Amino acid sequence: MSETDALMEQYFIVDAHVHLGHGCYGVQKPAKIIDYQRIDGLMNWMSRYHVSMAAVSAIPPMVYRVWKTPYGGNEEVMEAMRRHPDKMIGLWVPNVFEEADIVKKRIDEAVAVHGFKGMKLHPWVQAFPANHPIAYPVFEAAAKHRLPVEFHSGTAPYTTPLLIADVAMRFPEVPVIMGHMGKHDMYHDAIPAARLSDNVYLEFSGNVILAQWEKAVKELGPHRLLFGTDGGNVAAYFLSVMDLEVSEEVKRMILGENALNLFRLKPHMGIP
Amino acid sequence: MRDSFIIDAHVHVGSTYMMCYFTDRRFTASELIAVMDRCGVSKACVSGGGLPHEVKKMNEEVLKAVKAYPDRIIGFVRLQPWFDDVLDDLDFYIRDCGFKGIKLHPMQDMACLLIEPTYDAIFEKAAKYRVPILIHSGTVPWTMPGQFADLALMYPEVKIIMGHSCQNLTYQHLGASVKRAPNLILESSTFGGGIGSARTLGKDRAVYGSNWPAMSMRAALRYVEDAGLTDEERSDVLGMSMARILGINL
Repeated sequence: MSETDALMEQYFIVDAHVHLGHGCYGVQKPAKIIDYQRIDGLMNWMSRYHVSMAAVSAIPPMVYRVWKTPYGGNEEVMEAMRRHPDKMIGLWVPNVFEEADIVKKRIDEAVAVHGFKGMKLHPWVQAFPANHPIAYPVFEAAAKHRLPVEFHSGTAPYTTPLLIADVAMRFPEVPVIMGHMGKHDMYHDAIPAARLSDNVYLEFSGNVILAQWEKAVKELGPHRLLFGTDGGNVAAYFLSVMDLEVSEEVKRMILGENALNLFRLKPHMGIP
Repeated sequence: MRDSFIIDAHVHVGSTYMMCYFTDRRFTASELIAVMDRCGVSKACVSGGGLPHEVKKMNEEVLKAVKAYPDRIIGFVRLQPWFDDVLDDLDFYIRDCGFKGIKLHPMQDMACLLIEPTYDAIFEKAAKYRVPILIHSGTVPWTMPGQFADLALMYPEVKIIMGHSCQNLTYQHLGASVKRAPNLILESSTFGGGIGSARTLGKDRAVYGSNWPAMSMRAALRYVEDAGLTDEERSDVLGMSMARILGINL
Protein backbone atom coordinates (compact mmCIF):
# COMPACT_ATOMS: atom_id res chain seq x y z
CA MET A 1 0.00 0.00 0.00
CA SER A 2 1.36 3.41 -0.94
CA GLU A 3 1.97 6.19 1.54
CA THR A 4 -0.98 8.10 0.06
CA ASP A 5 -3.32 5.12 0.27
CA ALA A 6 -2.41 4.63 3.91
CA LEU A 7 -3.13 8.28 4.57
CA MET A 8 -6.46 8.18 2.72
CA GLU A 9 -7.59 5.27 4.85
CA GLN A 10 -7.39 7.50 7.90
CA TYR A 11 -10.15 9.78 6.60
CA PHE A 12 -13.86 9.41 5.94
CA ILE A 13 -14.09 10.58 2.36
CA VAL A 14 -17.38 11.61 0.79
CA ASP A 15 -17.23 12.51 -2.87
CA ALA A 16 -20.00 15.06 -3.30
CA HIS A 17 -19.99 14.92 -7.11
CA VAL A 18 -20.11 11.64 -9.05
CA HIS A 19 -22.13 10.43 -12.02
CA LEU A 20 -23.62 7.24 -13.39
CA GLY A 21 -25.24 6.45 -16.72
CA HIS A 22 -23.97 7.03 -20.21
CA GLY A 23 -22.21 10.32 -20.88
CA CYS A 24 -23.16 13.34 -22.91
CA TYR A 25 -20.93 12.82 -25.93
CA GLY A 26 -20.50 10.18 -28.61
CA VAL A 27 -23.17 7.90 -27.19
CA GLN A 28 -23.96 4.69 -29.08
CA LYS A 29 -27.71 4.49 -29.66
CA PRO A 30 -29.77 2.90 -28.27
CA ALA A 31 -27.91 3.52 -25.03
CA LYS A 32 -28.23 1.30 -21.99
CA ILE A 33 -30.31 2.85 -19.24
CA ILE A 34 -29.02 0.50 -16.55
CA ASP A 35 -25.55 -0.89 -17.02
CA TYR A 36 -24.57 -3.10 -14.10
CA GLN A 37 -20.92 -2.96 -15.14
CA ARG A 38 -20.98 0.81 -14.71
CA ILE A 39 -22.29 0.37 -11.16
CA ASP A 40 -19.60 -2.21 -10.44
CA GLY A 41 -17.06 0.12 -11.98
CA LEU A 42 -18.13 2.94 -9.69
CA MET A 43 -17.85 0.66 -6.68
CA ASN A 44 -14.38 -0.48 -7.76
CA TRP A 45 -13.32 3.13 -8.26
CA MET A 46 -14.61 4.07 -4.78
CA SER A 47 -12.82 1.12 -3.25
CA ARG A 48 -9.58 1.89 -5.07
CA TYR A 49 -9.62 5.48 -3.82
CA HIS A 50 -10.98 4.83 -0.30
CA VAL A 51 -14.18 6.79 -0.95
CA SER A 52 -16.68 5.89 1.78
CA MET A 53 -19.73 7.48 0.19
CA ALA A 54 -20.52 9.25 -3.06
CA ALA A 55 -23.28 11.67 -4.04
CA VAL A 56 -24.22 10.25 -7.41
CA SER A 57 -26.50 11.52 -10.14
CA ALA A 58 -27.36 10.20 -13.58
CA ILE A 59 -26.46 11.91 -16.85
CA PRO A 60 -29.24 10.57 -19.15
CA PRO A 61 -32.14 12.40 -17.46
CA MET A 62 -30.24 15.63 -18.09
CA VAL A 63 -29.67 14.82 -21.75
CA TYR A 64 -33.18 13.70 -22.73
CA ARG A 65 -35.63 16.58 -22.96
CA VAL A 66 -38.46 14.06 -23.23
CA TRP A 67 -37.85 11.13 -20.93
CA LYS A 68 -37.84 7.74 -22.63
CA THR A 69 -38.32 5.63 -19.52
CA PRO A 70 -40.44 6.05 -16.37
CA TYR A 71 -37.58 7.70 -14.49
CA GLY A 72 -35.76 9.16 -17.46
CA GLY A 73 -32.45 7.43 -16.72
CA ASN A 74 -32.41 7.94 -12.95
CA GLU A 75 -32.95 4.17 -12.87
CA GLU A 76 -29.23 3.39 -12.77
CA VAL A 77 -28.74 5.50 -9.66
CA MET A 78 -31.80 3.88 -8.09
CA GLU A 79 -30.28 0.47 -8.77
CA ALA A 80 -26.92 1.56 -7.35
CA MET A 81 -28.66 2.83 -4.21
CA ARG A 82 -30.60 -0.43 -3.90
CA ARG A 83 -27.44 -2.48 -4.19
CA HIS A 84 -25.16 -0.30 -2.08
CA PRO A 85 -27.33 1.73 0.28
CA ASP A 86 -24.46 2.46 2.65
CA LYS A 87 -22.29 3.87 -0.15
CA MET A 88 -24.57 5.77 -2.51
CA ILE A 89 -26.09 9.16 -1.80
CA GLY A 90 -28.61 9.40 -4.61
CA LEU A 91 -29.24 12.77 -6.23
CA TRP A 92 -32.44 12.88 -8.28
CA VAL A 93 -32.23 14.60 -11.64
CA PRO A 94 -35.59 16.21 -12.42
CA ASN A 95 -36.89 17.05 -15.85
CA VAL A 96 -37.54 20.76 -15.45
CA PHE A 97 -39.43 20.83 -18.75
CA GLU A 98 -42.28 18.79 -17.31
CA GLU A 99 -45.28 20.40 -15.63
CA ALA A 100 -44.57 21.72 -12.15
CA ASP A 101 -46.91 19.33 -10.38
CA ILE A 102 -45.35 16.36 -12.17
CA VAL A 103 -41.84 17.51 -11.26
CA LYS A 104 -42.86 17.80 -7.60
CA LYS A 105 -44.73 14.49 -7.59
CA ARG A 106 -41.73 12.71 -9.03
CA ILE A 107 -39.46 14.26 -6.38
CA ASP A 108 -41.88 13.20 -3.63
CA GLU A 109 -41.64 9.63 -4.91
CA ALA A 110 -37.87 9.81 -5.42
CA VAL A 111 -37.37 10.89 -1.82
CA ALA A 112 -40.07 8.90 -0.03
CA VAL A 113 -39.94 5.65 -1.99
CA HIS A 114 -36.45 5.48 -3.43
CA GLY A 115 -34.45 7.31 -0.79
CA PHE A 116 -32.86 10.09 -2.82
CA LYS A 117 -31.00 12.59 -0.64
CA GLY A 118 -30.99 15.62 -2.89
CA MET A 119 -31.42 16.91 -6.41
CA LYS A 120 -28.97 17.60 -9.18
CA LEU A 121 -29.44 20.23 -11.87
CA HIS A 122 -27.14 20.63 -14.85
CA PRO A 123 -28.39 23.72 -16.66
CA TRP A 124 -25.53 23.56 -19.17
CA VAL A 125 -26.60 20.12 -20.41
CA GLN A 126 -30.29 20.68 -19.74
CA ALA A 127 -30.17 24.10 -21.39
CA PHE A 128 -31.94 26.54 -19.10
CA PRO A 129 -30.64 29.49 -17.05
CA ALA A 130 -29.92 28.25 -13.54
CA ASN A 131 -32.19 30.82 -11.91
CA HIS A 132 -35.12 30.49 -14.33
CA PRO A 133 -38.57 29.96 -12.76
CA ILE A 134 -38.75 26.71 -14.69
CA ALA A 135 -36.61 25.26 -11.88
CA TYR A 136 -38.62 26.72 -8.99
CA PRO A 137 -40.74 23.56 -8.52
CA VAL A 138 -37.51 21.68 -7.85
CA PHE A 139 -36.60 24.14 -5.13
CA GLU A 140 -40.09 24.11 -3.64
CA ALA A 141 -39.86 20.33 -3.38
CA ALA A 142 -36.33 20.56 -1.99
CA ALA A 143 -37.56 22.98 0.67
CA LYS A 144 -40.42 20.66 1.54
CA HIS A 145 -38.07 17.71 1.99
CA ARG A 146 -35.25 19.80 3.48
CA LEU A 147 -32.79 18.48 0.92
CA PRO A 148 -30.00 20.20 -1.02
CA VAL A 149 -29.83 20.97 -4.73
CA GLU A 150 -26.49 20.51 -6.47
CA PHE A 151 -25.62 22.48 -9.61
CA HIS A 152 -23.03 22.20 -12.30
CA SER A 153 -21.40 25.63 -12.43
CA GLY A 154 -18.85 27.54 -14.43
CA THR A 155 -20.13 27.24 -17.98
CA ALA A 156 -21.62 30.35 -19.53
CA PRO A 157 -24.31 31.38 -20.14
CA TYR A 158 -26.55 29.08 -18.10
CA THR A 159 -24.47 28.11 -15.09
CA THR A 160 -22.69 31.23 -13.97
CA PRO A 161 -22.13 31.43 -10.20
CA LEU A 162 -24.29 34.57 -10.10
CA LEU A 163 -27.33 32.77 -11.51
CA ILE A 164 -26.86 30.02 -8.95
CA ALA A 165 -26.52 32.54 -6.12
CA ASP A 166 -29.66 34.27 -7.38
CA VAL A 167 -31.83 31.18 -7.13
CA ALA A 168 -30.21 30.32 -3.77
CA MET A 169 -31.25 33.74 -2.46
CA ARG A 170 -34.84 33.07 -3.52
CA PHE A 171 -34.88 29.79 -1.60
CA PRO A 172 -32.76 30.47 1.50
CA GLU A 173 -33.99 27.32 3.23
CA VAL A 174 -32.53 25.10 0.48
CA PRO A 175 -28.81 24.29 0.64
CA VAL A 176 -27.38 24.92 -2.83
CA ILE A 177 -24.17 23.20 -3.83
CA MET A 178 -22.20 25.02 -6.51
CA GLY A 179 -20.51 22.03 -8.14
CA HIS A 180 -17.04 22.85 -9.56
CA MET A 181 -17.08 26.25 -7.79
CA GLY A 182 -17.00 28.05 -11.11
CA LYS A 183 -14.75 25.44 -12.72
CA HIS A 184 -11.81 26.60 -14.83
CA ASP A 185 -13.42 29.55 -16.55
CA MET A 186 -15.56 31.27 -13.90
CA TYR A 187 -13.69 30.46 -10.72
CA HIS A 188 -13.26 34.13 -9.87
CA ASP A 189 -17.05 34.37 -9.49
CA ALA A 190 -17.48 31.50 -7.05
CA ILE A 191 -16.56 33.09 -3.72
CA PRO A 192 -18.27 36.44 -4.42
CA ALA A 193 -21.42 34.56 -5.46
CA ALA A 194 -21.31 32.38 -2.34
CA ARG A 195 -20.90 35.51 -0.26
CA LEU A 196 -24.34 36.64 -1.48
CA SER A 197 -26.21 33.81 0.21
CA ASP A 198 -25.31 31.71 3.25
CA ASN A 199 -26.95 28.62 1.79
CA VAL A 200 -24.45 28.34 -1.08
CA TYR A 201 -21.82 25.63 -0.66
CA LEU A 202 -18.80 25.18 -2.92
CA GLU A 203 -17.66 21.82 -4.29
CA PHE A 204 -14.28 21.93 -6.00
CA SER A 205 -14.11 19.25 -8.70
CA GLY A 206 -12.69 20.76 -11.87
CA ASN A 207 -10.88 23.42 -9.88
CA VAL A 208 -7.32 23.00 -8.67
CA ILE A 209 -6.33 26.35 -7.21
CA LEU A 210 -5.22 25.75 -3.64
CA ALA A 211 -5.10 29.45 -2.79
CA GLN A 212 -8.75 29.80 -3.79
CA TRP A 213 -9.81 26.87 -1.61
CA GLU A 214 -7.95 28.40 1.32
CA LYS A 215 -9.63 31.73 0.66
CA ALA A 216 -13.06 30.05 0.59
CA VAL A 217 -12.39 28.47 3.97
CA LYS A 218 -11.19 31.75 5.40
CA GLU A 219 -13.93 33.99 4.01
CA LEU A 220 -16.98 31.72 3.95
CA GLY A 221 -16.18 29.32 6.75
CA PRO A 222 -14.84 25.77 6.65
CA HIS A 223 -18.33 24.24 6.59
CA ARG A 224 -19.00 25.59 3.09
CA LEU A 225 -16.34 23.73 1.12
CA LEU A 226 -17.04 20.18 -0.11
CA PHE A 227 -14.78 17.48 -1.48
CA GLY A 228 -15.75 16.39 -4.98
CA THR A 229 -14.00 14.90 -7.99
CA ASP A 230 -16.66 14.42 -10.69
CA GLY A 231 -15.37 10.87 -10.96
CA GLY A 232 -11.79 12.03 -11.33
CA ASN A 233 -8.57 11.13 -9.59
CA VAL A 234 -9.61 11.10 -5.93
CA ALA A 235 -6.05 10.64 -4.71
CA ALA A 236 -4.91 13.78 -6.51
CA TYR A 237 -7.76 15.84 -5.04
CA PHE A 238 -7.10 14.28 -1.63
CA LEU A 239 -3.41 15.24 -1.79
CA SER A 240 -4.46 18.75 -2.74
CA VAL A 241 -6.55 18.94 0.44
CA MET A 242 -3.60 17.60 2.41
CA ASP A 243 -1.48 20.45 1.01
CA LEU A 244 -3.92 23.14 2.14
CA GLU A 245 -2.71 25.37 4.92
CA VAL A 246 -5.73 24.69 7.12
CA SER A 247 -6.13 22.74 10.33
CA GLU A 248 -6.55 19.00 10.52
CA GLU A 249 -10.11 19.53 11.73
CA VAL A 250 -10.94 21.60 8.66
CA LYS A 251 -9.46 18.95 6.36
CA ARG A 252 -11.79 16.36 7.88
CA MET A 253 -14.74 18.69 7.42
CA ILE A 254 -13.90 19.25 3.76
CA LEU A 255 -13.22 15.59 3.04
CA GLY A 256 -16.47 14.24 4.43
CA GLU A 257 -18.12 15.77 7.45
CA ASN A 258 -19.57 18.76 5.61
CA ALA A 259 -21.24 16.51 3.06
CA LEU A 260 -22.65 14.24 5.75
CA ASN A 261 -24.23 17.26 7.42
CA LEU A 262 -25.52 18.71 4.17
CA PHE A 263 -27.14 15.48 3.00
CA ARG A 264 -28.46 14.94 6.52
CA LEU A 265 -26.79 11.59 6.90
CA LYS A 266 -26.00 10.08 10.23
CA PRO A 267 -22.31 9.67 10.91
CA HIS A 268 -21.20 6.34 9.66
CA MET A 269 -19.18 3.63 11.23
CA GLY A 270 -15.62 4.17 10.26
CA ILE A 271 -15.45 7.91 10.85
CA PRO A 272 -12.16 8.31 12.68
CA MET B 1 7.82 7.20 -8.76
CA ARG B 2 10.55 7.71 -6.20
CA ASP B 3 13.02 5.92 -8.45
CA SER B 4 12.08 7.92 -11.52
CA PHE B 5 13.95 10.81 -13.04
CA ILE B 6 11.41 13.61 -12.87
CA ILE B 7 11.41 16.98 -14.55
CA ASP B 8 8.49 19.23 -13.74
CA ALA B 9 7.87 21.09 -17.00
CA HIS B 10 5.74 23.86 -15.55
CA VAL B 11 6.62 25.54 -12.28
CA HIS B 12 6.73 29.11 -11.05
CA VAL B 13 8.49 31.10 -8.43
CA GLY B 14 6.60 34.01 -7.04
CA SER B 15 2.99 33.28 -7.88
CA THR B 16 0.88 32.26 -10.87
CA TYR B 17 -1.78 34.06 -12.80
CA MET B 18 -4.33 31.58 -11.43
CA MET B 19 -3.61 32.34 -7.80
CA CYS B 20 -2.21 35.85 -7.73
CA TYR B 21 -5.65 37.41 -7.25
CA PHE B 22 -6.48 35.07 -4.36
CA THR B 23 -3.34 35.62 -2.30
CA ASP B 24 -0.50 38.11 -2.05
CA ARG B 25 1.87 35.36 -1.07
CA ARG B 26 4.97 34.92 -3.19
CA PHE B 27 6.75 31.58 -3.19
CA THR B 28 10.55 31.43 -3.10
CA ALA B 29 13.02 29.17 -4.82
CA SER B 30 13.95 27.55 -1.51
CA GLU B 31 10.28 26.69 -0.89
CA LEU B 32 10.16 25.20 -4.37
CA ILE B 33 13.24 23.08 -3.74
CA ALA B 34 11.73 21.79 -0.49
CA VAL B 35 8.56 20.70 -2.33
CA MET B 36 10.62 19.11 -5.13
CA ASP B 37 12.63 17.18 -2.55
CA ARG B 38 9.48 15.98 -0.87
CA CYS B 39 8.00 14.84 -4.19
CA GLY B 40 11.18 13.32 -5.63
CA VAL B 41 11.39 15.82 -8.47
CA SER B 42 14.92 16.20 -9.84
CA LYS B 43 14.57 19.32 -11.93
CA ALA B 44 11.95 21.94 -12.65
CA CYS B 45 11.39 24.27 -15.59
CA VAL B 46 10.77 27.51 -13.77
CA SER B 47 9.34 30.77 -14.97
CA GLY B 48 8.26 33.83 -13.06
CA GLY B 49 4.58 34.11 -12.31
CA GLY B 50 2.24 36.62 -10.79
CA LEU B 51 0.74 39.94 -11.71
CA PRO B 52 1.30 41.20 -15.26
CA HIS B 53 3.56 44.07 -14.26
CA GLU B 54 5.86 41.75 -12.33
CA VAL B 55 7.19 39.94 -15.41
CA LYS B 56 10.63 41.56 -15.54
CA LYS B 57 11.13 41.38 -11.80
CA MET B 58 10.16 37.72 -11.80
CA ASN B 59 12.60 36.91 -14.61
CA GLU B 60 15.27 38.35 -12.33
CA GLU B 61 14.02 36.14 -9.50
CA VAL B 62 14.23 33.08 -11.75
CA LEU B 63 17.79 34.00 -12.70
CA LYS B 64 18.71 34.17 -9.01
CA ALA B 65 17.06 30.79 -8.50
CA VAL B 66 18.99 29.26 -11.41
CA LYS B 67 22.23 30.58 -9.95
CA ALA B 68 21.34 29.31 -6.47
CA TYR B 69 20.26 25.84 -7.66
CA PRO B 70 21.92 25.27 -11.04
CA ASP B 71 21.40 21.51 -10.93
CA ARG B 72 17.74 21.71 -10.01
CA ILE B 73 16.21 24.75 -11.66
CA ILE B 74 15.97 25.21 -15.42
CA GLY B 75 15.20 28.79 -16.37
CA PHE B 76 12.35 29.66 -18.73
CA VAL B 77 12.16 33.33 -19.62
CA ARG B 78 8.70 34.85 -19.38
CA LEU B 79 8.21 37.23 -22.30
CA GLN B 80 5.64 40.00 -22.46
CA PRO B 81 5.21 41.08 -26.12
CA TRP B 82 4.09 44.59 -25.23
CA PHE B 83 7.46 45.43 -23.73
CA ASP B 84 9.63 47.23 -26.28
CA ASP B 85 12.72 45.32 -25.23
CA VAL B 86 11.09 41.88 -25.22
CA LEU B 87 13.52 40.51 -27.81
CA ASP B 88 16.46 41.90 -25.85
CA ASP B 89 15.16 40.03 -22.80
CA LEU B 90 14.92 36.90 -24.89
CA ASP B 91 18.53 37.21 -26.05
CA PHE B 92 19.77 38.07 -22.59
CA TYR B 93 18.18 35.19 -20.74
CA ILE B 94 18.62 32.51 -23.40
CA ARG B 95 21.98 33.47 -24.89
CA ASP B 96 23.71 35.07 -21.92
CA CYS B 97 22.12 33.38 -18.89
CA GLY B 98 21.65 29.86 -20.15
CA PHE B 99 17.88 29.70 -19.82
CA LYS B 100 16.53 26.69 -21.69
CA GLY B 101 13.06 27.78 -22.73
CA ILE B 102 10.50 30.52 -23.17
CA LYS B 103 7.21 30.98 -21.34
CA LEU B 104 4.33 32.88 -22.94
CA HIS B 105 0.98 33.72 -21.40
CA PRO B 106 -1.14 35.27 -24.18
CA MET B 107 -4.23 35.52 -21.99
CA GLN B 108 -2.52 37.46 -19.26
CA ASP B 109 -0.62 39.61 -21.74
CA MET B 110 -3.60 40.32 -24.02
CA ALA B 111 -1.70 39.05 -27.01
CA CYS B 112 -3.46 36.64 -29.30
CA LEU B 113 -1.66 33.71 -30.86
CA LEU B 114 -1.43 34.02 -34.67
CA ILE B 115 -2.30 37.72 -34.53
CA GLU B 116 0.37 39.38 -32.39
CA PRO B 117 3.36 40.10 -34.70
CA THR B 118 5.86 40.13 -31.85
CA TYR B 119 5.13 36.46 -31.36
CA ASP B 120 6.44 35.79 -34.87
CA ALA B 121 9.75 37.34 -33.90
CA ILE B 122 9.83 35.32 -30.69
CA PHE B 123 9.14 32.08 -32.55
CA GLU B 124 11.87 32.85 -35.07
CA LYS B 125 14.34 33.40 -32.26
CA ALA B 126 13.20 30.22 -30.52
CA ALA B 127 13.97 28.35 -33.72
CA LYS B 128 17.37 29.98 -33.89
CA TYR B 129 18.23 29.13 -30.28
CA ARG B 130 16.53 25.73 -30.50
CA VAL B 131 14.56 26.23 -27.30
CA PRO B 132 11.00 25.09 -26.56
CA ILE B 133 8.16 27.50 -25.83
CA LEU B 134 5.75 26.74 -23.02
CA ILE B 135 2.44 28.52 -23.62
CA HIS B 136 -0.63 28.70 -21.40
CA SER B 137 -3.35 27.02 -23.44
CA GLY B 138 -7.08 26.71 -23.69
CA THR B 139 -8.39 30.21 -23.10
CA VAL B 140 -10.76 31.79 -25.60
CA PRO B 141 -9.82 33.71 -27.72
CA TRP B 142 -6.10 33.86 -26.98
CA THR B 143 -4.90 30.28 -26.88
CA MET B 144 -7.32 27.86 -28.48
CA PRO B 145 -6.19 24.43 -29.69
CA GLY B 146 -6.50 25.23 -33.39
CA GLN B 147 -4.27 28.27 -32.98
CA PHE B 148 -1.60 26.02 -31.50
CA ALA B 149 -1.84 23.62 -34.40
CA ASP B 150 -1.53 26.43 -36.95
CA LEU B 151 1.46 27.89 -35.12
CA ALA B 152 3.15 24.53 -34.83
CA LEU B 153 2.81 24.01 -38.57
CA MET B 154 4.21 27.49 -39.24
CA TYR B 155 7.26 26.80 -37.04
CA PRO B 156 7.90 23.07 -37.35
CA GLU B 157 11.37 23.33 -35.83
CA VAL B 158 10.03 24.80 -32.55
CA LYS B 159 8.73 22.50 -29.82
CA ILE B 160 5.56 24.08 -28.49
CA ILE B 161 4.42 22.87 -25.07
CA MET B 162 0.74 23.38 -24.38
CA GLY B 163 0.58 24.34 -20.71
CA HIS B 164 -2.43 22.65 -19.03
CA SER B 165 -3.34 20.86 -22.28
CA CYS B 166 -6.37 23.08 -22.79
CA GLN B 167 -8.16 21.73 -19.75
CA ASN B 168 -10.92 24.26 -19.90
CA LEU B 169 -13.73 25.01 -22.26
CA THR B 170 -11.78 24.31 -25.44
CA TYR B 171 -10.81 20.73 -24.56
CA GLN B 172 -13.29 19.28 -27.02
CA HIS B 173 -11.12 20.67 -29.81
CA LEU B 174 -7.82 19.47 -28.38
CA GLY B 175 -7.63 15.95 -29.76
CA ALA B 176 -8.14 16.89 -33.38
CA SER B 177 -5.72 19.81 -33.14
CA VAL B 178 -2.74 18.05 -31.59
CA LYS B 179 -2.82 15.38 -34.29
CA ARG B 180 -2.05 18.03 -36.87
CA ALA B 181 1.50 18.86 -35.78
CA PRO B 182 4.20 16.58 -34.33
CA ASN B 183 5.95 19.50 -32.59
CA LEU B 184 2.98 20.11 -30.26
CA ILE B 185 3.66 18.73 -26.77
CA LEU B 186 0.94 18.27 -24.16
CA GLU B 187 1.70 19.26 -20.58
CA SER B 188 -0.30 17.71 -17.75
CA SER B 189 -0.88 20.38 -15.12
CA THR B 190 -4.59 20.68 -14.30
CA PHE B 191 -6.18 17.21 -13.98
CA GLY B 192 -3.42 15.31 -15.72
CA GLY B 193 -4.62 16.41 -19.14
CA GLY B 194 -2.80 15.00 -22.13
CA ILE B 195 -0.88 12.27 -20.32
CA GLY B 196 -2.51 9.55 -22.40
CA SER B 197 -1.03 11.17 -25.50
CA ALA B 198 2.26 9.52 -24.59
CA ARG B 199 0.61 6.42 -26.05
CA THR B 200 -1.89 7.72 -28.57
CA LEU B 201 0.32 10.35 -30.23
CA GLY B 202 3.70 8.75 -29.76
CA LYS B 203 7.00 9.34 -28.04
CA ASP B 204 7.80 12.70 -26.49
CA ARG B 205 4.34 14.14 -27.08
CA ALA B 206 3.32 14.39 -23.40
CA VAL B 207 5.20 15.75 -20.38
CA TYR B 208 4.47 16.04 -16.69
CA GLY B 209 3.92 19.51 -15.23
CA SER B 210 2.34 20.75 -12.02
CA ASN B 211 1.90 24.51 -12.31
CA TRP B 212 3.10 24.69 -8.71
CA PRO B 213 2.42 26.69 -6.53
CA ALA B 214 -1.14 27.10 -7.87
CA MET B 215 -1.56 23.35 -7.77
CA SER B 216 -0.26 20.61 -5.52
CA MET B 217 2.89 19.05 -7.02
CA ARG B 218 2.23 15.66 -5.49
CA ALA B 219 -1.34 15.73 -6.75
CA ALA B 220 -0.05 16.42 -10.26
CA LEU B 221 2.35 13.48 -9.98
CA ARG B 222 -0.48 11.22 -8.90
CA TYR B 223 -2.20 11.77 -12.24
CA VAL B 224 0.83 10.31 -13.99
CA GLU B 225 1.02 7.42 -11.55
CA ASP B 226 -2.61 6.49 -12.20
CA ALA B 227 -2.59 6.98 -15.97
CA GLY B 228 -2.10 3.31 -16.80
CA LEU B 229 1.12 3.89 -18.73
CA THR B 230 3.86 1.35 -19.38
CA ASP B 231 7.10 1.83 -17.47
CA GLU B 232 8.74 3.38 -20.51
CA GLU B 233 5.82 5.71 -21.21
CA ARG B 234 5.70 6.80 -17.58
CA SER B 235 9.43 7.38 -17.53
CA ASP B 236 9.12 9.49 -20.67
CA VAL B 237 6.24 11.56 -19.33
CA LEU B 238 7.89 12.13 -15.97
CA GLY B 239 11.21 13.35 -17.28
CA MET B 240 12.92 11.64 -20.17
CA SER B 241 10.83 13.31 -22.86
CA MET B 242 11.41 16.75 -21.34
CA ALA B 243 15.13 15.99 -21.09
CA ARG B 244 15.23 15.26 -24.82
CA ILE B 245 13.17 18.35 -25.62
CA LEU B 246 15.59 20.47 -23.59
CA GLY B 247 18.66 18.71 -24.94
CA ILE B 248 19.79 17.60 -21.51
CA ASN B 249 22.32 14.80 -21.59
CA LEU B 250 21.77 12.34 -18.77
